[in-house]
Amino acid sequence: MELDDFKTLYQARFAQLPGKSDNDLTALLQKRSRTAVERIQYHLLWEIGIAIALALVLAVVLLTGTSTTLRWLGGFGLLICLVQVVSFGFQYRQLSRRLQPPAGSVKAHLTEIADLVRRFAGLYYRYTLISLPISFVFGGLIGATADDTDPAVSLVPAHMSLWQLGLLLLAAAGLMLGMVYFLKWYIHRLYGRYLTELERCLDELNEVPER
Amino acid sequence: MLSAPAFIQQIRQHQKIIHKVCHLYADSPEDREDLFQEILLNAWKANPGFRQEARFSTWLYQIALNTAISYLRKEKRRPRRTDLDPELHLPDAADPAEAQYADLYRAIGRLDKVDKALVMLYLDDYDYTTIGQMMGITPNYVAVKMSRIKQQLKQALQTA
Repeated sequence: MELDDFKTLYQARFAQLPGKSDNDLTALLQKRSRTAVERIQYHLLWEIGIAIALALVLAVVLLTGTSTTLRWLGGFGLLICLVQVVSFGFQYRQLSRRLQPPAGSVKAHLTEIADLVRRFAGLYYRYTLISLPISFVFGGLIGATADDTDPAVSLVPAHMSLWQLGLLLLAAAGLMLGMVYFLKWYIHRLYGRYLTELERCLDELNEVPER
Repeated sequence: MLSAPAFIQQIRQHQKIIHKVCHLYADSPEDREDLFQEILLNAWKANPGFRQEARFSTWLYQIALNTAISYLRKEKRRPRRTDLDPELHLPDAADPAEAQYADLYRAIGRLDKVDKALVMLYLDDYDYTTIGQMMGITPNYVAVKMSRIKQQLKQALQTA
């Protein structure tokens, strides 16, 4: 059977299909949408919510903590959380403004969605990768140097041997590597497969010039 | 832009377009229902930009295809290729034309998302220029791709 013979049967089958009533359609319009971009917006709101909750906890640590190091860590963490609330809030607004209904060509629509997903994944990755070490290193260093009698600092020996220092650096490097791999895995799980699928479709639409 | 009752009425008249897209792009009845809803919501959001002089069917087709191709499937539901929807296809075993129809429908269902869209538009008698505009490619490239797809489907039927 050729595609042109198939056409008649195909049209006839769909002509018989029972349709939805006005009430069914109106009810469907009341429900929530779940497009990829709306999912990104949902994630941004979720991240903002978590940052606010974390900021509150860190504010309590900052105000009531007895360890100077922990208070400095709390202070830097709080600052990072506030930056996250502002920057993710800004991204949310930008995304809402840029969000266009999918009425253009398939290629234009896929290009826009792929750009948005790529941009969000990149932003999330860079932000987390930069913010966590900054708060740990700066908060930890300032706190440790500000108060020598701090119980949190006293756990670390004053004069470390070479192997102790090596172990500490190894643990720090391990933590960083673990964080990087976890982030990559998490972002890939959220959007990686989807982005690959979009890019595959875009490749299909890219005309290869004949030689 | 259409008023809400006029929009609903137009959707009811042209809902076969959405059904066709949902049947080819979603495998299970739940996925089809979700996709139908997503297309409807996207059409409603795009309604303010709809120009009355444009053909509603072409406009709806564009939104339906864009939504289906960029649809983010729920994670819990793994993609799977189920058999033909019994509501649409009740092949009479004694009729070879029916069996061939079912085989070809399955082969179209296995095409990639972009090729599926091209076939759907072709089956609905859109010319290569309009298909090209809707897909964002040149009419020449539509012709090249359609020729490849027909070849691919022929091979799939031979091995079926």
